Amino acid sequence: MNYRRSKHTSCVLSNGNVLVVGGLGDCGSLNIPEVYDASSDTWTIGPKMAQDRYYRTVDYLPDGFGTIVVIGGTSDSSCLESTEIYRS
Amino acid sequence: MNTARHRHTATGLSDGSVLVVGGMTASDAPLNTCEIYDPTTGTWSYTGSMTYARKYHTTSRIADGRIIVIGGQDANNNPMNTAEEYNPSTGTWSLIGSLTEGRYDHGAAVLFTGQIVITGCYGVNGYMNSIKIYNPFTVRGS
Repeated sequence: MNYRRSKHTSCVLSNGNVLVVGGLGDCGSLNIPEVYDASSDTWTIGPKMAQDRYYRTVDYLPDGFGTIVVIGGTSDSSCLESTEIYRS
Repeated sequence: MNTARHRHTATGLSDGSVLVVGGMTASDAPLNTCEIYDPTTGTWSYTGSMTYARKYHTTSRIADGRIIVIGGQDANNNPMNTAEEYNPSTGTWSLIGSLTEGRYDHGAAVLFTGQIVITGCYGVNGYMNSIKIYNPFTVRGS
């Protein structure tokens, strides 16, 4: 990974790559996701979330498009009630 | 649940029930107890306990239905390198191959190959960006 982080979440996308979302790192909470391609052992920076967050939940939406929903969590300043979706 | 806990994990089992693993009490003591929620009856019951109490760990369900718990933090807040597998047909845990270094607050995802990718964490040297590819099938056979 490019960013050192803990308290993040990861899940496998519909194409087999691994999405790593949020977390807490050296400069506080992170809004920069990364995608890991195990077949080539490479990391790519994903599109930034609107909100940096850690300790959030991540799950699939059963919409057939592989959409990932990111719910709540904690930022550097507060608990979060916002939700974001990620489409690969 | 029977035991109040936080920083635990909840993982769906193949039969539709939910396995809740470890975590910690209100006084931050790690737990080795595990419970199963049956959504058809709305009831909780204890199942087998892990060998080691742990919090801030991950659990992953692999293709054959086993649940793999990796790492976490022990009673002295040290990162743990041990891993255990839960067999849903027997309700018991067994120790499997350990990581080379302790990790907690990491991420875990199951690849299509069945391997588990463990990403980042907080370890003895602080935040980490390294990953491990963990093969529970190899571990089981060794």
